[in-house]
Amino acid sequence: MEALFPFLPLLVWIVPIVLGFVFGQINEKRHYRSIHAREKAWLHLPTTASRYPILPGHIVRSELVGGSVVVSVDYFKRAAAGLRSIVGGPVKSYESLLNRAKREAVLRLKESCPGAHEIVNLRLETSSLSNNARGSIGAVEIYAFATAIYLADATAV
Amino acid sequence: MKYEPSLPQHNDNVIQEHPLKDFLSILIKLAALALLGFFLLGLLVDAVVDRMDASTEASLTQLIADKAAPAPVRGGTREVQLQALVDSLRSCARFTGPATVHLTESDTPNAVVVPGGHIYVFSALLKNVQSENGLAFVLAHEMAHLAHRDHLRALGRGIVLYGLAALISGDTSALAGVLAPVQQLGDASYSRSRESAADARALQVLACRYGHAGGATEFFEALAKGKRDIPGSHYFQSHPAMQARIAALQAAMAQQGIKTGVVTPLAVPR
Repeated sequence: MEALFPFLPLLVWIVPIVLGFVFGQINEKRHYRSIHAREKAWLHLPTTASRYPILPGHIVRSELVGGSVVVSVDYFKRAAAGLRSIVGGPVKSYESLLNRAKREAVLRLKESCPGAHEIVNLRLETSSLSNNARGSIGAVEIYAFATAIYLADATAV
Repeated sequence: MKYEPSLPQHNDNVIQEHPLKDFLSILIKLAALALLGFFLLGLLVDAVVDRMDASTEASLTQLIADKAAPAPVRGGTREVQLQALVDSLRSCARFTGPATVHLTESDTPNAVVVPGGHIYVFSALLKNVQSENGLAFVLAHEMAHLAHRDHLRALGRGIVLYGLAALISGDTSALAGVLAPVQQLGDASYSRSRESAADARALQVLACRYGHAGGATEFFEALAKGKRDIPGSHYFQSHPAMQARIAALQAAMAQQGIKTGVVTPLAVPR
């Protein structure tokens, strides 16, 4: 037991990484399940980045809609990205995080206008909250915004 | 064109491979590279220390010697006797550098060397040796550390370790805590090999000075009686286990045909 004492400082590093990995993975799996189900549910709502609607019909109302998500990295993802920053290459641990955040933001946007017939002009903005300051929480905000269109005589597509 | 709502068949933006794979592969490769670098640079330190001339060693020692430590008061009769013993070992040890003995009152049976050629003998050491030969062996061991320039080797390795850490991480402040056990493990292993080298040299000096190696294991035997080794702790200790040192000395004596003989009684009062 005494022989393990020198490794105590090492534990201070390892424990958060293990905790971050376990809880981060559980969260990510659960989130992806939710994303897949909701994306399927919202499939009936055409969503494009185009300025012109793809559905024919008379537009009676249009409104600005938005969905925003703030995500933070867990300790494991941060450690994996830290290692990656030494050797370079794709930061895979952040890719899934930002992918989830973007899809979640778009889903929130859609959920904010349940009666809309089409979403046009979809845009995504990303901003870093931490500004890379040392010791601060590494978090990003993803903001999705678009125009929701309501038609007078919506025809099924 | 008619709009057909559908989800993509597969999404390449979501990486399917296990997140640990990336993490571990980088970690293992980096660690292997750092270890290799540490090993090779450690050999370089040894090569440099071996080839260093005496004046460079002296100026380096001047640089790292602990100036803050108060100069010990000298002049006790026991200290003079110890100094005479060290000086009598010089020709056998082929050691020409400075070697000043200081006697310190302490309950720890030990002796240490400090850069600058200072040998500190703790008073309890005198109670743990039976003869002059036993004491001479311990002093010869400390002189061997001075002759081998072991403090410069340790310093060089420390610089290499923290240099590598700074290179990889960008700063050492956060890494210091993590590196401490690694350094202790690495240093302890290296240090044990240096201790064994010092033991071997001290044995030669003892055989040269007295014509036999009687009393060589006296001090270690006294210490081995007093304490039990904790299993596994061996890897963290800077010194080999007492029993292992005794066995190594006896093996060396058998191999080199060094006999034990009648020991000289200790003249230094305890």
